[in-house]
Amino acid sequence: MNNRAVRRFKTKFGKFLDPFVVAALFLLFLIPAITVINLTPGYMKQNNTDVLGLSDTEAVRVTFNNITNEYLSTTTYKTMIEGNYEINVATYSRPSGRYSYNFMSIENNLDKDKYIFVTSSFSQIEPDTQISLTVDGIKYILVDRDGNTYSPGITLRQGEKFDVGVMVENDYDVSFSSNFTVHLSIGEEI
Amino acid sequence: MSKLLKKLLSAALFPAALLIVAKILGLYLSTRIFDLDWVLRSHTSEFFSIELIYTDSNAALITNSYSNLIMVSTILIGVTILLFQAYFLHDSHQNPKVLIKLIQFDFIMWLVDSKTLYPKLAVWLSFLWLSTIVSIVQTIQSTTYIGIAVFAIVASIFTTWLAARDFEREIHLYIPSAKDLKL
Repeated sequence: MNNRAVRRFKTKFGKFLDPFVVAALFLLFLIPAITVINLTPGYMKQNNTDVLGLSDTEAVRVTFNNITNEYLSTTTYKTMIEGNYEINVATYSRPSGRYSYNFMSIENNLDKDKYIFVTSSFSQIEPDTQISLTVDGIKYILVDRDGNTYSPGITLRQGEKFDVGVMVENDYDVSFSSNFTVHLSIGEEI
Repeated sequence: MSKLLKKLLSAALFPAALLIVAKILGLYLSTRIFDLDWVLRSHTSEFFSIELIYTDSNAALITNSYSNLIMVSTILIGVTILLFQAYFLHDSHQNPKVLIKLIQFDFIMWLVDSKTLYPKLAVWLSFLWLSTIVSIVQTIQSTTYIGIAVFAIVASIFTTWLAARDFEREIHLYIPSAKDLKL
């Protein structure tokens, strides 16, 4: 194609590119705005009490008690949505055995039952390891030894108080660190 | 393709990148200067996968405020340079004294024409307003000091007014005002 043909092509079809240029320009404003908003730092809520409800006495009280020891550590975050919590759990190299720690207590002072929806996400699943959420000592499996994941739902009866924890059971010694996130959402039963 | 759109697009690339870099630099500097502890939190399931977390709300407020100040100031410096060019190095309404000085010191290449200057100025002013809006929203959310938003608003209004004055002066070079026509 000679120069004249290129010029003719540009003149003929160049105008159709204008909407795309406008879109690109819009993106050039949108991307920095989103990035800057996303760079807004957050902060930890540790060893803290969160109250969900009308008043201090008539509410669901959530108390965080983060764990840090040589085998496991937890960091609890309150998310932007009320009643939603995220617990980042880091496990470290450890001998075979069962490790169980409570990191949160939930007290339902309302005159109705509440429901806890539990989901979890794992960056990697350790082989031959079972990870569970414990509610007053009752085990709710999040990931079993075969790597199957579960999302249990737990009823929070009115007037009761529960200690919530994490239990890690591994049949063999583990020589590396890994982490996973547990999402708790306290709401009404569907 | 529209030449104006092409100019606007190429003019927007640098301030867009600068806005992000200034925010990151602001976060880094304020964290270092105030010696604050922080961690990176990753969400694998969400759109924004990484979040900077400080140990308490005050630390988050300090870093966010100072990083916003650095972000606004950086864009403001860019706008100020362009306004300086518009007022003193603009080829269409050049002061003869300044022109002689520029020739004397061999700085004639610093002169800018309207076609290059105004698209740039419009884009940079838009980014200044964008950073101002972010500061205002974050002040309402109590994540930035109110002083930062006030500074950003004053700077944006003042620079926009200066740019508008220069643009008006430029327009009157080509379209005489009613007052000029009477004369």
